Amino acid sequence: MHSSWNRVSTIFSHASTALMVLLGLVAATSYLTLPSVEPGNIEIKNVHVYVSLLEAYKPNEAASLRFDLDVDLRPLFTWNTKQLFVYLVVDYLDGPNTTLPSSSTGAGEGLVYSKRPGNEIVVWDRIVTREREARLRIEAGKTKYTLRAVGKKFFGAEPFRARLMYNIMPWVGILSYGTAAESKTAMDWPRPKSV
Amino acid sequence: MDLLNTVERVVRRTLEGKIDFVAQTQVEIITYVVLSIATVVAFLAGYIAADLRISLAIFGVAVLGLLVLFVPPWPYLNLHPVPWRAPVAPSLEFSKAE
Repeated sequence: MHSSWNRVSTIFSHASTALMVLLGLVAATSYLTLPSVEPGNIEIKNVHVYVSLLEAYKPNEAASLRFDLDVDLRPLFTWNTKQLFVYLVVDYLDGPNTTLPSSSTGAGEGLVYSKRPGNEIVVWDRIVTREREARLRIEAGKTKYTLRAVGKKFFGAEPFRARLMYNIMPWVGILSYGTAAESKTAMDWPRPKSV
Repeated sequence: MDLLNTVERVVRRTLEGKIDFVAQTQVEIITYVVLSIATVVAFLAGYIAADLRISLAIFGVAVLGLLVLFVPPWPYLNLHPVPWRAPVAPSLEFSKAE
């Protein structure tokens, strides 16, 4: 503390420690008081399945959706919310695998699919940076990203559901996730429309 | 050369910014206390006002205030100089004793 330089050093040293404590308090408080939202409404209006010709040598089915969305995410904007990442997730199981001969899909034939993997695909998203934009009301919104059938086709797969998820990005602290809406009725996969 | 030496000494002394021992102790304690209080106040104010910028502004003002008040060797930081013994001329004393 005898010289100016020494005092600058000491003050900044203490200040950085105190700043870390301050930000730690902010992060801990906002983690302990995480906001939640009232469940909103998400409804899939229309499923459009078509044969994707992106890779013509192995045609795959692809799908796009139209959905209605009504959810109020304004409670998520606290003093420590920088922005929200809102995304629509479609959960579905693979359709019956058509690339295998039908005789080999039965049980006891050696190839047994005891566990079919579920798919969680993000089909639409939005970044909300302001509280006044957090009231989401979308009618017949179109998905941004296509769903692609992993097992070549959708028809015959189990009905699917969609859910709206959010990710709170804070100024300080850790990311937190939540579900804002879930579709009440499961949708069936239609047959593909001819291109 | 004499003038140059004097100028150099003045510049060095100004940049070094020496303060007395009492002030050194006080400055360190006050820095600790002010920063601790500023942290708590900034957190509470930001939480109540629900605005993180208020927290950071309060904290920043506290740090800037400390820098302005304590870094330059203001005269109030040199109120307790160490008393030196008055200079004596040793050679003169010595010659007298002889």
